[in-house]
Amino acid sequence: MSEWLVDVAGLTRAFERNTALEQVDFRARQGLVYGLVGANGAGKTTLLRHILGLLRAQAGTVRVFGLDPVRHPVDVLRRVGYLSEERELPEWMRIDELMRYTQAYYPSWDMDYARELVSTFGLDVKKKVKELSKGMRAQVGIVAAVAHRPDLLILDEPSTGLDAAVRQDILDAIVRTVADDGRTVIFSSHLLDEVERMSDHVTMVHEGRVVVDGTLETVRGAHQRSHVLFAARLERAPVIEGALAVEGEGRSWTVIHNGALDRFRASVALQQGEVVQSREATLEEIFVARVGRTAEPAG
Amino acid sequence: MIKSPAAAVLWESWRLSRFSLVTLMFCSIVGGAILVIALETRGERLALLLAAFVALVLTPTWTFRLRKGGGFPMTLGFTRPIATWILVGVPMAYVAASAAIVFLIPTLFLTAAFGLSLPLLPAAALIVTARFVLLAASWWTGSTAIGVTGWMIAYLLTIRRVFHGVAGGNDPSAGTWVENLTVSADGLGVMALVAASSVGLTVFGVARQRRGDDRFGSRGRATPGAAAARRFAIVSRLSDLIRPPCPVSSPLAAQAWYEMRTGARVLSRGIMSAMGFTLVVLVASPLKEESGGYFYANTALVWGLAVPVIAGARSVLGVRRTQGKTYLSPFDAIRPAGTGRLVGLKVAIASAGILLSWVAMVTAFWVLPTDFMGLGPKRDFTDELRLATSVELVLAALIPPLFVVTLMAYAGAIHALFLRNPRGVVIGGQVVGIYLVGMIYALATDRVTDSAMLAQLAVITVAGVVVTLHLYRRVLSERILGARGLTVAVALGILLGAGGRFYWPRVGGSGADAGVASMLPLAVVVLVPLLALVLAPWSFARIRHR
Repeated sequence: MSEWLVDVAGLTRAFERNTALEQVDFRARQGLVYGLVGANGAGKTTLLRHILGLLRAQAGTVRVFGLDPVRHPVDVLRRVGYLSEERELPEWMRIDELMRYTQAYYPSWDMDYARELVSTFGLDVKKKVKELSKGMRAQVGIVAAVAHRPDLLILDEPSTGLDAAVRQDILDAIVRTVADDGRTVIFSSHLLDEVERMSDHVTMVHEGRVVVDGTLETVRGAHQRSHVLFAARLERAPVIEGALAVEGEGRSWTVIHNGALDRFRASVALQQGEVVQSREATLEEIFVARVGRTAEPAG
Repeated sequence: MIKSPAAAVLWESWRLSRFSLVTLMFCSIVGGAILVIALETRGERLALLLAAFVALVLTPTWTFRLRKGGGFPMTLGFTRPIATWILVGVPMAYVAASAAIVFLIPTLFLTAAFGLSLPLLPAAALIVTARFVLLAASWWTGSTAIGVTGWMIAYLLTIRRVFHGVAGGNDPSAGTWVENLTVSADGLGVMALVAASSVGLTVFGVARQRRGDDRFGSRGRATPGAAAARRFAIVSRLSDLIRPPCPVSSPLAAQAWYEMRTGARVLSRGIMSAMGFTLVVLVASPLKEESGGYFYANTALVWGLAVPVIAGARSVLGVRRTQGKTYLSPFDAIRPAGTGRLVGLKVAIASAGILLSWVAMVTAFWVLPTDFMGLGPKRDFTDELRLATSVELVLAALIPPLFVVTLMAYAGAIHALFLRNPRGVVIGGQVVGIYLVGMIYALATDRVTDSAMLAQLAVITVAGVVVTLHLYRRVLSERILGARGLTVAVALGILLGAGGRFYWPRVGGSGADAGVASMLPLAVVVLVPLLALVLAPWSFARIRHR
């Protein structure tokens, strides 16, 4: 088997006339946490659904554990845990029934671990799903996703709409999953601080394309946030080499940029400017610079 | 630009229903034409009944499927700055008017095409009034149980009025049916009053739902089993009393347990239908024939047999369409189980639910004083059973389950294909409909020779064989079915085919020794289940792995 647990290559997917993914490459190695970030409709869920085999690749290939998840759903899904964004669970089931039901599908199900998680979350196993709050549903969903100790845990927006306490529960479950040797987690999120805190590797998707992909250190190391002062007032945002987003007015401008810092400084100097401060950009700043609106450059 | 809230609601209603309305009119025209051509004078009445049925029963179901559960369906309107009477009154008026159009256009077409003299306007007035009453019955309260009961009563009364009008009571030879349907000025006044009262009641009930006073109002999520649980809370509570633990010994057992619970709606509806049938027969028995006893009991019988089939057909694969997207619950989709097995169990358990419901109906039929219904003394049936050979008895026991399994497999497959590509399926259905009208017309007027008929059958058979083989190849190459699943599918298909082969001569078909011509329909009988049993997993896989 290849060294990659998940290997997506040249994946393209369109829904009628809308291209959701275009030539996407994504790889995940064993034992790491992968954060998938992007705006709404960027294609994160579509990518996750391809990995689960819920969507068929129109072009390109998807391999999970070396297998095509559409052709081998049983072999792939048996080793995967999944928490969907909708957290859809059968309303009529009691929590204990849900545990037993899920157990039947996974030979590796660890009932002690499931009970421990249920107890940690303070859930009443005799309650039906329809009686649970949104947060409780998420907690039940995460128990069902991790208690068989999957090799690959996929979480689609696990924290959306949850309060801080439940969010912490979910993050703890991820940490514990990763603590098991060799487990891999792929999760999508809007909460960039969460991604920054949890991920070893970040993939940023924008309009169906991967715009940033690398380890958290690499991604952050490759992007800086610099404060630039110019000799004269500028009416429009300056054009600077490597700039992804430029904000400010007059002589003072803040720039999010990538590439070598020396070349950036040289480009600023050419326009009678000076870099007065520079630091690593946060993931949120990178995200906004890559995905959000940028100031229209001068000239 | 839409200039007023009322115009906006009207536009929304039109956008939601326009395709369905055209489809319904087409069905009425095709069905009516077939009936008129095939049955001549009797067909004329039945065509009118069909058009009335489509307009009365199908229009609302197809038009406002925005919400599961009971009550007013257009709940998105609750947050709009619009008076409740406009929110309710406009769609009610629209549905009533569209029902009249769905009735009038096909019947006018049939009148012109075949030179019929149908009492259209009085019947349309009756349909419009009934439409208001039926909408009020299902919209005024969030309780589906109350809504359905009210709907059933209104429906029975209306259909009885139409039935008696069209059939001239129970005497099919009566020639006064046109006069029977005529409505006097006083009658029109009463109808207007009934319609206005229905609107008033609905506005009152929806206002309560809008401000949250209706304790039956459902605001739950559309999740598997949720809608069924809400609709049949009593049944749900009863089933909670018998709650066997989920088996963990194998995924198959666990899935069977799950499907039995989620598929319980088929059985619960069947049992409720059987109970309803029992109640109707008990109430209708003293009425006897002259007071409509026949009609009520017969309608309840047909309804009771049809309800579980309809429920099963719509829910068999658990696929649905939400906000324009075809949807299979992720909970279902990510189970580490093969598509063939998932579909096989879903179809098997829905079929079992239908069969058990039918057993409940037959039991009710057996114990009730139903001889008066014109269905023949039960003793005759018992004698028939005594005379049957053991082979016939085995087939009699075997064929209904296999037939229901095939029916459910097709229903699930067509539903899944319809959800993926509604227009394609409807247009395909219309093409088939037009072909059938043409064929029946040609047969009725002796415009088709035996050789032409044989050629058509041969083409259909060959096409069926090609499509079936293609699908078997696809399901194998896509690993949707394994060798075991495929063997089961083929065995079931052959069994049903064998049943058809056995019964074919008994229903008027020629025997195997009568040549190729008479064997072709038999080949179709064998092909039908063989195709169904791969079409269902194949269409399900198109949604599970889009």
